[in-house]
Amino acid sequence: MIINAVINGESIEKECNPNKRLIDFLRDDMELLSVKEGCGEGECGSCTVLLDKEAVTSCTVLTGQINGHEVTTVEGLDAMGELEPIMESFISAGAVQCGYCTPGMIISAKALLYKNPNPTDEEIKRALEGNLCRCTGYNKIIEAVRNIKR
Amino acid sequence: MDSGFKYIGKRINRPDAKDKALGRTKYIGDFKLHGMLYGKLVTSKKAHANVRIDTSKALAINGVKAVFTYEDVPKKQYNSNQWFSGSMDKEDELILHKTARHVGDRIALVLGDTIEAAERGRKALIVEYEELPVVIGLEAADEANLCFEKEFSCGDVESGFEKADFIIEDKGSTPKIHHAAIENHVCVAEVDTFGNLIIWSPCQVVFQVQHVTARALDIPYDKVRVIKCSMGGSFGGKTMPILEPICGFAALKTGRPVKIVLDRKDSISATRTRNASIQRVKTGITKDGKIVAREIEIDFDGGAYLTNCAGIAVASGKKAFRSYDIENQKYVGRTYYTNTTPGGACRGYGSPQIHAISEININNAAARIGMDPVDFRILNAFDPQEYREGAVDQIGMPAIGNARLKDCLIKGKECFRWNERMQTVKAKNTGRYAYGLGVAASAHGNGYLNSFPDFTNVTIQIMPDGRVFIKIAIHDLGCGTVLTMQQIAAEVLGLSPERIYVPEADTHQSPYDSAGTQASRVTYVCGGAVKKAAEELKNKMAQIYAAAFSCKEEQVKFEDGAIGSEYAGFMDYGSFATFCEKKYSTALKIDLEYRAEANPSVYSAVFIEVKVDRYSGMVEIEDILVVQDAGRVINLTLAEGQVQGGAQMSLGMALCEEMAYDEKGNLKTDSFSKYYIINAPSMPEVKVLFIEEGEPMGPFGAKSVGELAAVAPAPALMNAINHALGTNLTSYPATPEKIIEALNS
Amino acid sequence: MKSNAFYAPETVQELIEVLKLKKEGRDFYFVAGATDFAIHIKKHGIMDYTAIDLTHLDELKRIEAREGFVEIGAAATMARLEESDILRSHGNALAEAAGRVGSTQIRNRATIGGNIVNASQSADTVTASCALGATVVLLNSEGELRELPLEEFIIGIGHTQINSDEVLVKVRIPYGRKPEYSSFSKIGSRKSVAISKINCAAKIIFKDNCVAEATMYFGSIGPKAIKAAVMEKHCIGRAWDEKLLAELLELGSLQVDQAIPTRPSRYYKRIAVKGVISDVFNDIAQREVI
Repeated sequence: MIINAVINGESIEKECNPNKRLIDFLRDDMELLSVKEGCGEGECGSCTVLLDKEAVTSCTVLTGQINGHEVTTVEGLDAMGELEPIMESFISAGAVQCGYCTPGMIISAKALLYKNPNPTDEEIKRALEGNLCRCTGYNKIIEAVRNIKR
Repeated sequence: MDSGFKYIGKRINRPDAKDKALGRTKYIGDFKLHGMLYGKLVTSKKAHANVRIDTSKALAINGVKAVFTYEDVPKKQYNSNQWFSGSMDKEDELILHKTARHVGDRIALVLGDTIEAAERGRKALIVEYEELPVVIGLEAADEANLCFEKEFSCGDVESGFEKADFIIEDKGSTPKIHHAAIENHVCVAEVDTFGNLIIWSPCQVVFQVQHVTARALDIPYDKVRVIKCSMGGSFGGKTMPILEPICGFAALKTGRPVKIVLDRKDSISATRTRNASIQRVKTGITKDGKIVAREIEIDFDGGAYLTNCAGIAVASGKKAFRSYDIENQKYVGRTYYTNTTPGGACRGYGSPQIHAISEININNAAARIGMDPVDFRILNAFDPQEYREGAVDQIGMPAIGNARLKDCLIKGKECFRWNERMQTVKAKNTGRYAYGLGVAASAHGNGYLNSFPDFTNVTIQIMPDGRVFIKIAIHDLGCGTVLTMQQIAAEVLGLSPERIYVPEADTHQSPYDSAGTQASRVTYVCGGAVKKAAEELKNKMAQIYAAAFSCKEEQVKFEDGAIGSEYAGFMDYGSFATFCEKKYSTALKIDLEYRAEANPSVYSAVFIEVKVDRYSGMVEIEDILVVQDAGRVINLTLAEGQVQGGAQMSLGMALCEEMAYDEKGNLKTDSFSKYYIINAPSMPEVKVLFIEEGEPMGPFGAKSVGELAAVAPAPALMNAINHALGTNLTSYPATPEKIIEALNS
Repeated sequence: MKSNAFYAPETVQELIEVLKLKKEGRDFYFVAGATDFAIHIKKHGIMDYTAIDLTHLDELKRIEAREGFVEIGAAATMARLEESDILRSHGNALAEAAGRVGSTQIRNRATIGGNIVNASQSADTVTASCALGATVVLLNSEGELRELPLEEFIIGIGHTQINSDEVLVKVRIPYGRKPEYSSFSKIGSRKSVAISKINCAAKIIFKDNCVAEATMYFGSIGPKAIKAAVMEKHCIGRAWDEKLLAELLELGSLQVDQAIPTRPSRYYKRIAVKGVISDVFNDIAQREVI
């Protein structure tokens, strides 16, 4: 099937297997390796990407479903100049340890800020509830997101 | 309070954080090597069975390149827990098994050109199981399954109990825990141009992987090169080589690079767990609250292979003698075989288990005489000890050192407003919600001195461009060990940490280290080595400079990466290195073998206020303070991160984490939708306080932080829940079902 | 024979054509949110199948107020349901339930149609929709529509009345002219991102400060959502006060005893049920006052 979609700001028209998981399409076909696999069932959130500005777990989306839609990963946010303030905040708050959950956390944070530029801590936690982290205990990640809004 | 340091104690940003945020950091799952084959590990679906595998249909699948079973691999037994050649751990594992001993046991490997081909091949394998009897869980194990026993004691426990006015006994249990690193287990192996095996592994001890793999494959050590790669968390789970031997075998056999990635189900069942335990604690106290005797018996679930059956019983027991001054104490630890996932290193390594029940027992002892539980601990805690070479504790282990447990308890009590909260917390109770307070203390170590060889080698060299190259077998698990080494060297040499390069461990590049990243030894031992080597380098530089420029060594100054004196002017380090080479035929380099000379303890006290829903049994942590005796904190942000992360893991064991099996040994909790770890909405803000009173032998007085952090939160929470509800829950995790049962029975 | 194809109908007519194919073929799966689907194919090792993607039909995503009922497209996501003002006004329990399904990422994809047809015994939107008196509308390969009560449509765990050539297209929530108060609560193993161990939804209509009509359902204590008929009757004519709550808590425990007498989880659920009843009761009490 030929997919027409906007991936990280660029329009693409590509032959692909529509039944392939979106995570595999992004990692293998588009070489966007920031998208990580941790569980393959939508629980850990490390594969989170933006689908039309909403956070979704790419391991539970079929590639065919993105036809006509926009998908963004941290590579895209970086290319479009939208990553800097989030990244700086994560780094200075100490929110990055092993880094495996970090791209997913950043995407979920970005999705939240699109809707709600001044979230409360409760709203931040809700936006990140589908992103598991085993290193940080979440405290510094919440702090990082809290610090971005200013 | 300004310590006068330029880099030590500062909140310096991790240099690797940017690439991680950008998604540029390459983890092993991201590797794509030319001609790479994808391996799908086949694991047993039965807990104990002889396995017969028909590979014909799998081999017929388009894209499947090979299928390996027990028949194909070397048959030499090994023990994946051995991290050095002198290890006494008995060997009973094979690369692939013919008799599976647990659900998740390795029985075959399918190799395909693509992941899809390998997956189809795996599905097409026909596996027949001839089932054998199973032993599932400690309750089912008996003397025939005992594989290790260890006793530690001091004084005379029986006469101690006779002196006691009150005896308090508790029984309890802790579960098998999955490490739950977000990155699954993974390995890439390839053969280089010279025919040597290269293993890319997210491991904790490259020399362990080399030792085990070389032995298992029966090839020379020097033909096995292990390179530590960026890792998405480990917490002890990736210490033992599980994939490396079969991955290495496949690469050698096919001549092509091989990548094996486990899915979450296999990461949970096919690797290692924290050893579960069943425990009995008996404590004798005087009416004034002094502990006069204590007896602790712990049965550990070792799982299906010997692995760390000895280590866990020993490490756990030692901790009983580190916190409280108990004249008469006896510990007996026993490890049993069961047909479940084998035990292995897991953050805290025995400390979480032994503190889990004993710290509830301490609260019960205090309650028996109506004494405040914090005061009870302060009364019994060891005082700090002056450093004395060769000093030992009651069981002959290296002395506890500058033990600041009392400080943790006293300062924590004040900071948490413990007394004030005790007066008011129950007044918050409603018909539905109950509030309570809990405290717990814990001890952990700083390396392996007196148990296993604890030494490292380090090379430190000034490069011609003035940067510093440090070679030491360091493994960053995400905790920041690399930055810690950079900061220590930076402080000594007066250079920014950014100019100091400390690559991670590589058996063929890093000088030998006896134990890698485990036993909480990195800051204390490896950091100590880096500090000493940097100091010796500085001395060498001063000596050479003084000789070359005719001044006294005391007159030599080091400023902003340059060496000089008032009279002879300054030269940047790089130019000086070139100068030394030309004039004296020497490199500005130090090679040092550094042995640990002490193994003090670190201490923590955790204070929790909890709210329990008497209908749903759900627990909410209203407030938590962790106080840790850290000697000196090298990087405040890294240290806080470790304490908060450790709390998440520990609280998880107290609330919701448990690997559960059915009676046949099938793992019920084989995914993140069934094995819950604490997520963001359920994680409280962990307030952190460090006691920094130094520690002799620690670099700048520093000692360990990360494993200790995973110990006390759990019993502190159990104590808080018990205080809120008037229960005596001692079975971890305190699930809503257990809480409701305790309330309604 | 295994298939491997992907259809993404964009109009109802195209959907009908695909339904004709589904009638003949096996290995055809509807995917919308695909959150349950992804787990299903992983668990069963299904690598070849035909997917019918329902996310490209705008008609199936709408939430509209009609005469006497709210009509919800089966492919409306939990996120849209939670944010819907129409639903907050005329079906609050469902908006609440949708907001408690899974995680943020899951809610951005999971659909009410998927939740219903999957028919898990703990499906949160099912409990809420039953309490609201929902009906479902199905479309078949002949282009015919049929409507039936949700409670009848669901037979048991994973089992509904859907035929092999049918697709769920709409969910309808009736509402009257009198003000209705509805609420939902659930208890899982953790506060957020958890499958319900027990859930509860209620819809109450008041008259002269007393209960005139009451509907109450519990989920996850049986193969499908259970109508708490005894508790509903008990509310009629009563003031919505502490005394009534205390009685409902006891009746709730008995309801659980009756529903799952032999299951080990009964001992927990008969107490936990008091939590969901209290939550729903207090939520309605607060909004009634306002």
